[in-house]
Order: sequence, then C-alpha cells, then structure tokens
Amino acid sequence: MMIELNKRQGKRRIVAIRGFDEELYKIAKMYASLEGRTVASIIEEALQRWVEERSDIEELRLWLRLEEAYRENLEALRKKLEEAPGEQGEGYALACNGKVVGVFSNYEDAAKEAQVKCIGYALIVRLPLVEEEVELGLPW
Amino acid sequence: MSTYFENSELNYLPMVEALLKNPLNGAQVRIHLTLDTGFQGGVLIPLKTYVKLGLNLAEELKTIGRTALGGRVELRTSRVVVVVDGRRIPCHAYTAVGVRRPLMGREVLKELGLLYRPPHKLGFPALG
Repeated sequence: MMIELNKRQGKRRIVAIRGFDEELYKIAKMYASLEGRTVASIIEEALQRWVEERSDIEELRLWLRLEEAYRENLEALRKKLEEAPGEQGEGYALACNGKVVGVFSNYEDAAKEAQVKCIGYALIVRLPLVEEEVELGLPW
Repeated sequence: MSTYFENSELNYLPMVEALLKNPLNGAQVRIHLTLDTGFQGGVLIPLKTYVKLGLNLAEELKTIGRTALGGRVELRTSRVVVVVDGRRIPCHAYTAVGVRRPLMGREVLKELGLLYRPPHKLGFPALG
C-alpha cells in the first residue's frame, strides 16, 4: 500500500507501509470515500492523535528542526575526513552551513571562529571523531 | 543560590538552584536541578532550556547516554558554565526529547563536593 503522509507543514512525501492490515485499509478507504476524504488524511489524523498522546509534539518538532542542521554539518565533516583520512590528526573541527570551516587546536578558538563565520548552527567536534558515552542516572 | 531537599516522600530529593550561562553569547537561565550522583555528565536539561540558552548554536558530537537499565539515548551536547554558590564551573550540557527533570551530574558535583545528609539543609564544604 502506498499512502501520502504529511512530513511537515507544506512538505509531503510518499510512504510505503509493509504488512498493513488489508481489511482495515479497505474499511478506512470506504469511510474516507463516504466522507469525501483521502486515505492519507485519515491516517494523518490517526497518527497525529497517537503522537500527541505520547509526548510534547512541539518538543519533537523543535528536535527535528535541530536535527536537520546537525546532520548537514556532520555529513560535511565526515565527507571531508573521508577525503583526507591521513590528515584527521587532533584538534577541533568546525562545521556550519553544511561546510567545514577548519580545524583548530582548541575548542575556544573554534567557538570564536563560529561566532564570526557561522550563521545559526555550528558543530564543533573533537578529532579524531569518536562517539562518547555517559552514564545517566535517574530514568528521567 | 541554595541547596535544599524537595520532598520527604521522595526520600529527600537533593536539589540545587543554579545559574546556567552560555559561555559564548552570555545568555543565562536560573534553574533548579536535582543532584544525581548516578549521572556522569555536567547538566541534563530540557530541550526548551537548551535552546533558550542558545546551546544549539554551537554543539559538539552527540553523546550516547546509557541509562541505569542499559538503554541507549542520543543526547545533544554542548558546553555551559554552571554558577553555584559563587563558583563558576564549566561543564557539558546535555539534552534529549522528554527530559522533564533537570539533573546536575558528577562533572559538576566533583567540583562542589556536596554532602548528602538529610533532613538538614545541604551544605558546601569550606574552601581551601
């Protein structure tokens, strides 16, 4: 089954759902037809309610907005490091606006440069690129 | 700034009032944090507070948080200065979707050296 879901206001995409209950789909399609609506709008409504019951939807939207900029900067950084793996060395790499600005010897210098050259989000990453872990305490 | 216990029914939850400052743009937020020795990092704050401080404008690589039950949580990570009892402590600030109770972890607590002895007020050890 192919349905169109609302990804974000103004933006739409095609979403394929595997293993969807065929009878439920037929019933939803019939009701949608009787109400003069599309199946996508019915599923959007159901998903919207489901998400709202589970968490703060505004917080999720904010998170997704931040995520876009973060991924863009991280991808630019990873691409640059892949192009010149031998030059990774140590220090702090600065990326913003989807581009790598440079590598600095300390965090403070990278942060100062971010204030001058970056509009909006900046990513400052310690090299070599290693994912770090922290212990969390309470189940917040 | 003060430390206090929130509720005897919560087994005297140790709390601290602190000022969080963005070291880059000077933005600041006064906040009440639960002292959590099980949390390795500096402060864990709600996403709204994180954005209000502008910490999203200069972030580091995301950190993986390991919960007490072994779960993995992706944490946005930045740097912040915690001002408490007249001391300025630079540390890492973390956030994730769903953080409701702000926490102060060991990255800050190791500098403050607080003593947990309820039901009396928490105290700061003498300097020097």
